[in-house]
Amino acid sequence: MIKNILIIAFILIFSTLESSVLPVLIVPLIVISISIISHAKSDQLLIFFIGLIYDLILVNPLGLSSIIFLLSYLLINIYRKKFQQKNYLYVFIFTFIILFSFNYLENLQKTSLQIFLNTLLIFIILPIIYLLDNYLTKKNSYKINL
Amino acid sequence: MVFSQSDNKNTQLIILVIISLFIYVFDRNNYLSFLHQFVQINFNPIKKNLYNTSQTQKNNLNPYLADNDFINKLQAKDTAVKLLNKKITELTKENILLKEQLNSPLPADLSLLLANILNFDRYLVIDKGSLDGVKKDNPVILDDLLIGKIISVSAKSSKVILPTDPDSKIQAIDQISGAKGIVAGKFQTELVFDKVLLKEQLKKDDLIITTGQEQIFPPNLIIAEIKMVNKKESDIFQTADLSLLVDYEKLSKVFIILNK
Repeated sequence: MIKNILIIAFILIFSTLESSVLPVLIVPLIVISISIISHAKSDQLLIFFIGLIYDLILVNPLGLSSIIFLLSYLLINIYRKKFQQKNYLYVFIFTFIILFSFNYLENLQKTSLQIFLNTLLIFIILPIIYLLDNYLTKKNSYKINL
Repeated sequence: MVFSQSDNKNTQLIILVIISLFIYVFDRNNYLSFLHQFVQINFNPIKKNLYNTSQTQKNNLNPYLADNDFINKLQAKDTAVKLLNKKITELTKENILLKEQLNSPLPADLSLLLANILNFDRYLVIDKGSLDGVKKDNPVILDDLLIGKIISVSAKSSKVILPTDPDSKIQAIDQISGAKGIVAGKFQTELVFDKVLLKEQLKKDDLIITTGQEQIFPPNLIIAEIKMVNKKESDIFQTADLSLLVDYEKLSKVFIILNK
């Protein structure tokens, strides 16, 4: 629960920044990171709400990002084994494909080079989300043990 | 029947995708505009401040663009005075802008609405929407320069397509020779004056203006000036590369023409 609230808070902050000053796609990268490390069914619901918040703040048609994010989750879930083997090339290629499709469907007109550079950020965001998830999961398990 | 855990997981996913599709369709038909309105009323002031701060920082990073007033303001230690100065500067800029707009050679009966820019990516995002009377296809100007036209409107914000956008096509004429053509965007940064008959005379530095024939833009709005003429006798039409008279990235306020 705390993890979800924290992630929603991050999404609110980054969506606002993306809609005003940040020329990079941070929220889609956070969603991809969540999809890669996801181990709970509730993550689908979280991704659905992230999509809605993102659309509301960026003044996009409501629901479009949710569809793209959920389909990305499905795609990553199908190839989960490859991701669990920590195949960085796979992570990069998948992220690039998802961002490319996102750029096309949301009509953002970013160049391939911009998307390529944007994709590199996954190697910063993924470890942060992974560490945050690990930390909060451990904290939860301590509580249960006590 | 026995369902595995992954079946359950996929069922939930499919249900969520279907719900998203329904939301998308409802929103497309404007049934959910109250949600957009609520979020925009709360988030637009934050976005506006962030955008203005980033613009100021950009100017400060470039010593040639640095504003002396702003540097003096930074040196002043009193926060209250600093805030007041900032407010005065903003109001002065707005006042100058309004005065310039009033002096522009546009028809006096045009109803103009001042809007702040919230974001600039592919489109300009401004803080005025349907609640302020903005409609799709309303022209956006600054002084007598054409900035673009509204392509999508929500409750408290709108998106403006710029002439440099590849999807933008504007009927235009050369102010000096009267040569007619179409101004088209290229690569988000360039403009081309296309479909001009070979017999027409185009010259460097000629201004290209709107014709007003499309019933979207008023006539005589300046779009750009000719940088280079490309004329080949074997072609049917000649083209000209245009240079912009305004840097879209440095804009912070624009005017929307509400009535045409």
